[in-house]
Amino acid sequence: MRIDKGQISTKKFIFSIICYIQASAMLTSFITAIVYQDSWLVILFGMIVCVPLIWLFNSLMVAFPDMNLIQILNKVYGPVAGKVIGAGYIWFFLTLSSLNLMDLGDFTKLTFMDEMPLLVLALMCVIVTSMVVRKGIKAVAWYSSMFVVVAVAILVISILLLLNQMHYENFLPTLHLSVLDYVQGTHIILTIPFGELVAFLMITPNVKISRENNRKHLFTGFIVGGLTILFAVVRDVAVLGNTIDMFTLPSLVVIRLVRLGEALSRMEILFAIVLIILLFFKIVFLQYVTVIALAQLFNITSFRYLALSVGALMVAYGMTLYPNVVVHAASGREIIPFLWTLFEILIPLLTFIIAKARKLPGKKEAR
Amino acid sequence: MIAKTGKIRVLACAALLPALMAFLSGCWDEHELNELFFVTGIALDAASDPDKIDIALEIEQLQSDKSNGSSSTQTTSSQGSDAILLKAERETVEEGIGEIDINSTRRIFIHHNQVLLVGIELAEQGLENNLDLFTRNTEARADVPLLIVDGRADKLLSIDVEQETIAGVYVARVSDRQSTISEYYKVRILDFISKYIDGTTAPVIPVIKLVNKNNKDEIEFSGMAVFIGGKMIGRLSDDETLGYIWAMGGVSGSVVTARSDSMTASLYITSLNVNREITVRQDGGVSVKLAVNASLEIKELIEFDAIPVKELIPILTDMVQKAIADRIINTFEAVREMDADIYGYGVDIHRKYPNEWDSGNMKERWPELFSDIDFKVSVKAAIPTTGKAIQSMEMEEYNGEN
Amino acid sequence: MFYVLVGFSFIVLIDIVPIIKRRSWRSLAALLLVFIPALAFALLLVTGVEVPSSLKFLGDVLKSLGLSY
Repeated sequence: MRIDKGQISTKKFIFSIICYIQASAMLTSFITAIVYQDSWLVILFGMIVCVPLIWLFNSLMVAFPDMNLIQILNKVYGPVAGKVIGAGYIWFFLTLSSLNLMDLGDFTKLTFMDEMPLLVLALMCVIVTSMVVRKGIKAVAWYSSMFVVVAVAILVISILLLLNQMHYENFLPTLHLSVLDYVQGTHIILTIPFGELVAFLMITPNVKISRENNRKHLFTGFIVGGLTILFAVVRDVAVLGNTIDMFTLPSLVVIRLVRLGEALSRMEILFAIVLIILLFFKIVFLQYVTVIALAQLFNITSFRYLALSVGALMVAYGMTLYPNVVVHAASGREIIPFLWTLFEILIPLLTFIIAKARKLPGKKEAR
Repeated sequence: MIAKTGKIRVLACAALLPALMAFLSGCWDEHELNELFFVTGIALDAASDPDKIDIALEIEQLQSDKSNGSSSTQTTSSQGSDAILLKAERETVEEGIGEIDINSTRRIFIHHNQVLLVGIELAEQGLENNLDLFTRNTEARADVPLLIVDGRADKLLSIDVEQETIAGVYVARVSDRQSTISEYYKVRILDFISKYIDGTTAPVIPVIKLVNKNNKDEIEFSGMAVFIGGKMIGRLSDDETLGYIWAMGGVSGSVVTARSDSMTASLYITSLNVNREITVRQDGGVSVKLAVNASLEIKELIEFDAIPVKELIPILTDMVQKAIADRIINTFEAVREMDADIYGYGVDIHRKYPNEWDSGNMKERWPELFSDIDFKVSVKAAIPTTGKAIQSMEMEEYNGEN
Repeated sequence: MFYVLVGFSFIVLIDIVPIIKRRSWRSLAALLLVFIPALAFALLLVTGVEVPSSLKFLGDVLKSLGLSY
């Protein structure tokens, strides 16, 4: 049973993936504090290590083209265990959306609305996201292409305007830290921007693509999104050098340095606007998958009535997660990679193995 | 006729829209222009109380305010200047700004600050504790130029400069112009911090001072201050500053005066680039070789009458190569005595030889290694043109007589 | 407290009342599963009660198992 009967095109699917990954650009400060000038290398390692993971997600999408993740879990693990694991995923998506909502609030306060209460910012965002989620996947993915184009344009412009402040020596020395630092950095990148693509397994039935083209679209979105983050980090390292780990948002500091005469200066507002719209998209998407997962678990089609309540829970739950940015960053570096590994790597892998072993979905349900 | 659900939807949107517009347009963060004091310069000085610092904010006076005659307490303003100075004496910069803010008619807005000036006495006590605000505060900008004032920084901000209406803007603009000659003339707060956290590099900051010319105070740039561990430990003269700038390379627009016997030549450097070769010697010491490539234009020749035109360029080339090399070496010797690696050679060693850097404890031994550096400079100058004149009038007269 | 109750009353009016009118009990169960914790969290936060963080709890569990950097 499909909860949301809306469908999106392949183009929207690809742009949604790119937008989703780009929204994690502000989380690169998690790795810059560990690997400093080698942050770009770690992102590259993360992308390479993530290829099998993306292949895994793609295989699940191809094997179960008309089922979302909750349905796959029910099919593979049975009705009871499937529902328990499904409930776990609802918690996971809810936590992700709450964390991103709080990130949006913190970021907006840091850039240009420092006196506005975080609660008001979060509520305003959630009211709008709930309205979008009620309309379904088509509304959720509607503006993804425009958001991506704007984000890439700002990235390219910022790189061009900062060329005169980039120093290649800032990348040296390379590969000089301990192996554990690179492992930690790669693990963070694997789980925090890239592994979260597991959420796209929730919209498999809503994407108008054939089995043959599935891999191409998923990988295209992943590679373009990953390259965007890579270029942003390369720019930040080249400009900031050894001060990159001092700042909560290195990209914001870097864009502030743009100065070509008086007219082309103080451009950080552009970066702020882009990041806000990207984060908004990610929150909308995650709220949508939370709502769909919940509706699927209870087997109901009227998912839109859940949107506002899920939004309210996102705000209230989000306020309890971390007391401040420092604790959030520490947790993001030390704990979250392990916790997210369960939902992003281990369970999907186990699901795939069991499905293969049991020869699921079987001849009747396969396309 | 609108269905009942449609009506509710319209009403809900009508109720939601004003709320969203009010909150998202910055209900709490609304900053009207006429409620702000735009800071154009910040001056930090040592206070009479050793635990405190003097903070002075140069506030740009808008034209309408000047005509209304509005001002706030603790101000000084010189005639003709478009700025007022607000001062406080507190333990930290943020406390000082806070005190000024609550005693002002408008909110202090430091987002448009043009320059950060530090008095020499405070620089000698140490800068590192006073810069945190400028990297942490969301309004403050880390790309603001940082300068040391030979004297009181607040006094410099209060003078009336002829070239600009506001002293802070004047200093910032001169600094910007100088950075077109070489990026190393302008030191931003971020640059200072970057060199400070290197651990081995001694940051340098331009020094400015007030000079009295024709009974008028004017601002003059006067060399650079050298810092180790955040404290000012010495100074570079104007000539030594040029030696530093040339040694760093990427110069376009400075002047070199070369002398030999009674001959004096002034040449304009159109471009000067440096290739650094830094190596670790067999004995564990460091060797630095600078290969300087300069392209120059002849601007002025004095007492060159006995020189045939054909030999002019080769002689000038030798003279200028020696002049550039001497100045670079003199600066290096001056900072070697201070044990101050202003060039960042330690960072280069760390980047090129990271294993030797770690295993040989080179970072801890760097002052000792720096003072033992084998420093060589080779200069290759090209003078492609003699300017509009081929020979000077003295050379014309001499050649005519002979 | 007042604003919290007003806000949640809106949610009741917009979402819960139509579900009850449609007699969709499963939808109501799903909605209440989210609504009640949201209301509880909101009331606890507004009254100043410290709500323990699930991520902090899980983090402590993982640390005790040696699964952290």
